[in-house]
Amino acid sequence: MGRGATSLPGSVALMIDPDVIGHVSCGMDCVVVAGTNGKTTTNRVMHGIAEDAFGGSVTNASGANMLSGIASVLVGNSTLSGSPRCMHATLEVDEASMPRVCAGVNPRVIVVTNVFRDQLDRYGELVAAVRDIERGIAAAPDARLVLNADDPNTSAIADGHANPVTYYGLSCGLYAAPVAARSAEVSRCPDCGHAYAYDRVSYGPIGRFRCPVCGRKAPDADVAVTSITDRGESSCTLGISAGGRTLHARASVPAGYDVYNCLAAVTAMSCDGVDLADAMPALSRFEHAFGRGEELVIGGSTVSLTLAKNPTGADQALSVLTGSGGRRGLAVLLGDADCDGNDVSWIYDTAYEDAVPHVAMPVIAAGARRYDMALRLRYAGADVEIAQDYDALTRMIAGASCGFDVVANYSEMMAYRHYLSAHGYVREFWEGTC
Amino acid sequence: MLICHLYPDLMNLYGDTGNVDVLRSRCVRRGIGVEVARCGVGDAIPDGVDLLFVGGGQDFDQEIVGRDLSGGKSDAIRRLVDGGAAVLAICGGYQMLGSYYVGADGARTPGIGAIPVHTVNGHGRLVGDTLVETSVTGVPAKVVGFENHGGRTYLDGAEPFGHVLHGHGNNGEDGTEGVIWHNVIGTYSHGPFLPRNPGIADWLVARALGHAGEDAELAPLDDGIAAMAREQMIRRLS
Repeated sequence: MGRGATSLPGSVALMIDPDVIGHVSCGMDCVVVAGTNGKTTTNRVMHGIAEDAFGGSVTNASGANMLSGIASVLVGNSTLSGSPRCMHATLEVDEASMPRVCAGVNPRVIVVTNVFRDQLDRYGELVAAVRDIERGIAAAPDARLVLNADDPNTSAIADGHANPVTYYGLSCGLYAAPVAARSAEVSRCPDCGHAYAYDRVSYGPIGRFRCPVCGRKAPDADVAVTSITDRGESSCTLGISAGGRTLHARASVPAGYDVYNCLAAVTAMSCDGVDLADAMPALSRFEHAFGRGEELVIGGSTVSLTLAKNPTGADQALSVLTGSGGRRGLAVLLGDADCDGNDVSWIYDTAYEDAVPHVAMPVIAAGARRYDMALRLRYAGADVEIAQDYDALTRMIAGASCGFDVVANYSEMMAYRHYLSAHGYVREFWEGTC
Repeated sequence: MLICHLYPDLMNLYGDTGNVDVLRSRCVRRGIGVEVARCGVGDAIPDGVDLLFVGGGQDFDQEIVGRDLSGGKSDAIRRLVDGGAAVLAICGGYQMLGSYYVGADGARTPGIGAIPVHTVNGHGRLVGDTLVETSVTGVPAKVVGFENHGGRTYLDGAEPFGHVLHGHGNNGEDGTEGVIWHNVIGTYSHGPFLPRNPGIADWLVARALGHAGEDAELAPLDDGIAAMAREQMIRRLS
């Protein structure tokens, strides 16, 4: 890790002063985003809105979301005497770093995107991730919580805290056609233990859930996407309602999980004092972070790079692919570095079976755990070709001369993107974003 | 052949379903008639089960499971085990088949009592890749897995599934991993254990066929990719 993600200065600063985050952020207005998927996208949209509204804002756009990365950004924003230059920040924070970051920056708003299974070997189990986020909230009792009403795990976070809460959610279908819940994650009512029923599923466990036994249900959204129209391949028009007012804006994301990230960002920034009308324009200017729906050309192929590091994210990445009409190529890159979580079991919770019929055969398996990936794809019914290294992978993609989807988890996305950059296919990440 | 997937919704934390897919696929590819019955909370164990699979789960989910088992389901599972049905129980499911579980507060929760093992909650989780040597199939073989458990399991007179070459195994103390009891394999190799270890999958299929009263020789399948995946981990862990 670490290429383009600048966490070294932060590590040094933390060694010298363990409370450095608190000291260099004193008086700042900080908005913090946590959750399993969508942190980076949400943070990038929030940053765009904050730049419009406040004339400037600092952020850790590079995905350096652990304690040292955040310390680096904030130290970089401080004068020699340690006081902040820019007084606004939007920060994405890894769950495990939430308690210390929140205690340090005393955020005005904490937004939570969702809580899915991710990196289970690091956190033991799903509830541990929730517990870390809750410890962060406990360290910031004045922060307004901005919670995904449609995620059973996220909306329940409000239960144990006295913080003011604003909910966001969808009051219309996310996709044009109705969806059935697919990921193996079962959501159960924390009050009585029964499985939730859904009046409408957005994706995975996200949707309008209710407990058929005790009546617990998804809270009403204070800020809601009420319509999704003009659904394009890489954009759609969102109608967003808050306080009796509905505004429309073009968003540079396809109608999919990123709609929730756009909504989370708009909701968070409106809780941070930005008028809804001033927040909406940033949705159309937003550019994806590295490896998150990014497009590039390799030889004769137009390639879309997508990060997927857990079953819900991978199912979503694949559903974009299967919904795109024509048959495309697919390469799946699987790594098991520490930043991915060393456990690759989650690939068996991902429904590759659904994607295989839509893919121009064969599917390419690559990355440090390419054999495990190939084995999974074989059991999903795919013809599989194994790319032994990035040279072979790139040759296969270039030679396919078709639309191509590359779905990779974190370490492989970092490494392949660096490879592509070194071979002149993409700009180095920090040139593009920092 | 009837496979029963016990608690497919609740006890499926780490891709456990992959094991059932492998068992089914290996039967289908050999022309063996196979059916998978999902058995959730409130469902009785169906008649005629030849192979029972149960995976791992979160603590909260296992409470719900505990209540469900007390309604006669435990008896049905014990009868299956004593009657020679093939069973694969992973992580939480492995613990659940044992005599009892001692929680962090010292309270003793009774298990199904189908296999002579017990589990004690331990300090810290045992997490990581595992490499285990087992002779279950008659020839010594290396199997690879990934473990992630807080409980420490101790064998009370049963044979271990294998011996730990890398990782923690049952309890991190005695070098044993899992259990073999009648035709039951219990293991801490969670999630998709069978894809990379098709020899174990075929052992279960053969035992299940025997239970169904059929004596079929299993035709070999192409397991080249599984062998490469296994070899990669064996090299890394040796």
